[in-house]
Amino acid sequence: MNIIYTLLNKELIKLKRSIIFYISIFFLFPLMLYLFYSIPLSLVFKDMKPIYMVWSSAGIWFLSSLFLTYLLSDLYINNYYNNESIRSFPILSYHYLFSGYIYALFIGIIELIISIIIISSITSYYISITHFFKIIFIMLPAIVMIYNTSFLINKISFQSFSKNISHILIFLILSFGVGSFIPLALFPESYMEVILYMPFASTIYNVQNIISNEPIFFSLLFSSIFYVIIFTILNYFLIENNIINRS
Amino acid sequence: MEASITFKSVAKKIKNDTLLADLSFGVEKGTRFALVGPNGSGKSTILKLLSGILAKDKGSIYVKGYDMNIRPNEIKSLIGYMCQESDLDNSLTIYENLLISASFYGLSKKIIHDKIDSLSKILNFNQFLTSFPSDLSYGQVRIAMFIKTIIHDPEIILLDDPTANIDPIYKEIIWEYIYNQMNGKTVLFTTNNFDDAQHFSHRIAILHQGIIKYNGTFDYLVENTHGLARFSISFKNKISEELVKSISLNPKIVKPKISDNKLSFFSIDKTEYFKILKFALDTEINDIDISKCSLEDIFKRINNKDS
Repeated sequence: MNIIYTLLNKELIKLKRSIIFYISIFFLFPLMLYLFYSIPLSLVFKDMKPIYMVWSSAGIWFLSSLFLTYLLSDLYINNYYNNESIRSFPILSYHYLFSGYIYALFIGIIELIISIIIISSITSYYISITHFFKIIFIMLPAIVMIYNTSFLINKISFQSFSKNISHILIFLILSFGVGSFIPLALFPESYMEVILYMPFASTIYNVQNIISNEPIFFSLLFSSIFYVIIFTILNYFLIENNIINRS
Repeated sequence: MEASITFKSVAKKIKNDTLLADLSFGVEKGTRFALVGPNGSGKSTILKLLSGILAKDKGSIYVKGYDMNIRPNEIKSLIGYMCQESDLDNSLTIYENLLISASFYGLSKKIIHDKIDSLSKILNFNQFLTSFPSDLSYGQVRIAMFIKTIIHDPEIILLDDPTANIDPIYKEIIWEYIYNQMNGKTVLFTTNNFDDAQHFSHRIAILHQGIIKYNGTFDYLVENTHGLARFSISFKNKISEELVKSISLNPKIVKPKISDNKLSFFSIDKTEYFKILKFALDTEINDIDISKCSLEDIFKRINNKDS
């Protein structure tokens, strides 16, 4: 526990040092998504229920929270996993894994709360406390999943160029590929059937259902949790083989 | 004596280069052990294997009886490792760097604070604790790394070229601490500075192409040269052709080196030196010198033999 705290503490000291920068990003990112995605697209999707501005709030919360978590997790992973001398400390695989998850959840939830507050204030659509906690609960597997994705990409992409391309692809997929800003109903049916059971699409679908006052699909939530478990096991073995028992 | 570190037939390849091949040696508890060898001979690899940064391909490594394969974390807790390049986080101050590193070993904040305070006083480093590593000179960064290595009071200290490229003042601070304050600790260090190895270690291992060529005390290494001593004579004028010829034909003289007016060679037999001296007495001599073979001489000899 002490080691997990130390791993986190190091990153928190760094975050604190650049707090103005991070706060600016945390506030600006959802605002920019609202300005560049929601407003123009609201002119395209005119007859939606609830209205597009409200419906797309879910996409802004989802994308801002997940993408910032993805980027900051990448920095975190770089600091720890690509640092040779840190391997000389008595740190176990699960310390790395859980400290990473806690860090990602911390960033993800903070950004989620900030974006909910900002976007709700702009659209004047306020969610109830129950819905607020439901959204946070539903987002948890997606945040862990985005950390896992960041870890895998970090392990696969050795060059900064391929990493940058991966960041762009992740941004595009989260923006347009999983139904955050473009309703999944507009995609081919076969695509929708497959993507809906993928971790990110299932999360945004449930968040949109909460906004629309519709029931959430537990099967989709469980499918997200299932993926999280699979990827957690995979990452654990990757850490064990690549970081703890280096070749 | 109890063994602190044991390598048994350890092999390590990185990509297709064999860095260590069937390496076996031991380090006794409480001794200072120097690893010397040319660049790429595998010195740093040995330390990385011991600190858990790299995994061996073959063989066994034991530290205080713990098998590296089975109990790597127990071993890591016993070890303090100082690498060659700076491993300090540039976005944290030196104090924060030390605090974080020591926390990994489970020390409380108060103990860490006291340790930082006492070590920085001894090593004359107080004024740099609030600085960032990027604001410090290379020597100051090395001192900070040294404090980081020893802050949790490890039983085994691994130092990868601790005083390379640093000025004599910082060098002296580090060696003085190792020499005076680390008695009873096992210190394994690599160096390319033969004087450091000769003066500050109890035992020396000369590593060459992934295997240990010699391993023992400095006196043992000198004995292994069969009592070779270095002789030199400095003449006032150019050395005569006759003398050069007689030296090069003498089988008892090893590696003669003749420059314009200076002659140096190795020999087991002092009488050879006296013979040359007698022969040279006809000419004017500036200086004469007899010295024991240095570690550098032994090292060069080993390398020349193989190349």
